[in-house]
Amino acid sequence: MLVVTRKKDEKLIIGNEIEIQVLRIGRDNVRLGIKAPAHISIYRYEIYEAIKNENVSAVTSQIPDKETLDKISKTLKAEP
Amino acid sequence: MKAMQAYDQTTELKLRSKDAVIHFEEGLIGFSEFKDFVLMENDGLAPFRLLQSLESPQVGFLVLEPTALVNNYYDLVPAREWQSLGVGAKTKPLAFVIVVVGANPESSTGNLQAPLLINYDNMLGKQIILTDSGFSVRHPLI
Repeated sequence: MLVVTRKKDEKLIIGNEIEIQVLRIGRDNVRLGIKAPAHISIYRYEIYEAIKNENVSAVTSQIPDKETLDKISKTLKAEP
Repeated sequence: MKAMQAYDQTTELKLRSKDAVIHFEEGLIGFSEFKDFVLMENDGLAPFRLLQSLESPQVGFLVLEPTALVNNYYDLVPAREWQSLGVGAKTKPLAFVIVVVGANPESSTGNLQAPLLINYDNMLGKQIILTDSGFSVRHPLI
């Protein structure tokens, strides 16, 4: 891991297009500003991790029991 | 082993069409190595569909249109997310949520927080996170 020390208002650039700026330094947090092209997704890591875990459990479940699926389908169709 | 059995089932499902390969440039979240998928459906599976990876038979996701769970779901997806896929005024936006089916209907959930957006005109797809939507990654299906 690359470790860099930056002061308030200083920036980093990643590749040619992604800029990260230190906007504010608090006691136990920092506020960052990120400039990146629209196609680059930026998420808080823990949210990304939660979605990733959910995707993994979805893959392992694969095609489930037909009876369970039918029961769910009936309920879904019953709703307006 | 379970995955392989499931795949045998999926081969019985009908492809929408031969060239219906949906390309996810960034893959799905946590699955960046799998980029090309087909959407499989049959009457027995409806309203669910299977988003099957072309790169690995073990990687498939059971999906559902979110409108089956939430009426105005499409309004909650930011316009810029559709634009990033090239969805414009003339393109019909399409979204799916990934479903996890538990041991019974009550424990089955859909991931409303991280839908898959698909542009059927250019066959591009993307999984996004609706960060401030208040939706759960485990929204009960029933």
